[in-house]
Amino acid sequence: MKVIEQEQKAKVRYKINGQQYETEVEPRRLLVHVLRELGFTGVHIGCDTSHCGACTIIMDGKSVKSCTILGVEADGSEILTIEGLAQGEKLHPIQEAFWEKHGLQCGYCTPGMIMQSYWLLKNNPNPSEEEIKEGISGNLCRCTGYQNIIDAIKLAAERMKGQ
Amino acid sequence: MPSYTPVDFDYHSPTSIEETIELLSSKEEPVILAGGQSLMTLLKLRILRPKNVIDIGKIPSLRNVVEEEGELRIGATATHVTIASSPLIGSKCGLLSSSAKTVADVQVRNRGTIGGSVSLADPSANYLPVLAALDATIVVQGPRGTRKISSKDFFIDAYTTELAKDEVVKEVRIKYNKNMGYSFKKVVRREQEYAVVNVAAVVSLDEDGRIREAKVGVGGLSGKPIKIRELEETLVGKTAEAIESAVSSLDFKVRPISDVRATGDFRVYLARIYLKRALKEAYANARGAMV
Ligand SMILES: Cc1cc2nc3c(=O)[nH]c(=O)nc-3n(C[C@H](O)[C@H](O)[C@H](O)COP(=O)(O)OP(=O)(O)OC[C@H]3O[C@@H](n4cnc5c(N)ncnc54)[C@H](O)[C@@H]3O)c2cc1C
Ligand code: FES
Ligand code: FES
Repeated sequence: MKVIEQEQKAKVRYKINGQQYETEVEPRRLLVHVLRELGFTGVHIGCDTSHCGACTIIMDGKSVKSCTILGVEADGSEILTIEGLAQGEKLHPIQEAFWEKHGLQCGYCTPGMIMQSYWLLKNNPNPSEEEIKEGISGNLCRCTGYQNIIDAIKLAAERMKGQ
Repeated sequence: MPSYTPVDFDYHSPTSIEETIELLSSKEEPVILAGGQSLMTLLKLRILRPKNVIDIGKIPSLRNVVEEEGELRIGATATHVTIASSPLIGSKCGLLSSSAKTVADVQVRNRGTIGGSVSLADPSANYLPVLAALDATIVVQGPRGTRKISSKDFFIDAYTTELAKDEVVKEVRIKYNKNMGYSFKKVVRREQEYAVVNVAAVVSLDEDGRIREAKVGVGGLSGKPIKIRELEETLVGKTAEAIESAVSSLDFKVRPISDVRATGDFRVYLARIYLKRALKEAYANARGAMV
């Protein structure tokens, strides 16, 4: 059993976007804050009450809202953030599709929306429009009205089929 | 510190139920952390200010889903996504799978657990009408041993259960019947939200297509989920034609919740409509299973 006392910092390790990180966190620190302080500022904070999905990341293969997880709780886990999707200069097909289909306006919801789309397409490479809507229902966008986001996910699905 | 940070606490991650119970009894103001999908928000808004947080997410045995002695035993930290996608649960109790599929959104289902949901006892939670309809048993463990509590006794009122402060929910047990048609209906204003009301119905038929047994649960109507025995009894020996009038004349005998989501009258109105739909669908499914 692990015990970490308040205000005491615990050493935690994460594998983020394929690279090993080690840092120190207090028990009450949220994973989203820890990630942002490590430089992964693509992980956004929207509502901070588990409703908007802006903080969505992939943790141990599952999409999760990182504002709702403690840094210490995530110790030892493997994490994928928006920063880990592109291959160098080459954008991920989902990123490209969001760009081409105007799946964003202000862009605030975009990293979370793309990470959720990533999980959706991994689990369901050929989603119907209904399945796309259900799949991103945990992500709020205040700008686009969702239609272009849905179009972007459809296009990404199409392009990712061959891969 | 950025906004919405919980108060300081000590963090514990026990690896067994025994350790968890020991911590619950010995630590000051402890709180259990399961999937954190409800608790973390309560902590961040500082509605809860615990001195000790006990993370039960690292206890492998608590996550198991098994079939034993003719019942499903679902570990407290089985997640909603596990329950929605488990082939065992799907084949034995499709009603539970189907209620898990519409809990919140994907991210919440990936973390949230059935134990967390029953412990929190939000009156609009998806599982509650299902557990009420099926007479599920909640197994809890504490320093005084293990207790098996029927859902009728476990749920007392909104956010209020029979669980003592030093006890932990260990598993949920469900007895299932083969060849039953089922239907789960969740009435929402927006996809990822909690239900205004939700309804669970299960029907089994005899060879002539008459209802042999019906099980009906309604959530969101009052502080705790209700099993409607009167309706269950009325429907025995009848066919689908009887559903309409049996539900129309039903007296729910509860004081319905009135809140921001809906007034009490509207809740009763919705419950009636969705009870009819759920029962008809369950009946049709049971019929379909016969041929
Ligand atoms: C945006 C959003 C939408 C949601 N919509 C729905 C919905 O539509 N339907 C629905 O049913 N739910 C909904 N939920 C709630 C969700 O299902 C939660 O996962 C669930 O209520 C709590 O489970 P948890 O594992 O996250 O528990 P936690 O948040 O970790 O804990 C909840 C409470 O239960 C206690 N607890 C947890 N596990 C145990 C245990 N084993 N023994 C004793 N006490 C325990 C904790 O101390 C805490 O008080 C929603 C949540 C969010 C954030
Ligand atoms: S910031 Fe995490 S869900 Fe909104
Ligand atoms: S693009 Fe602005 S919130 Fe989605």
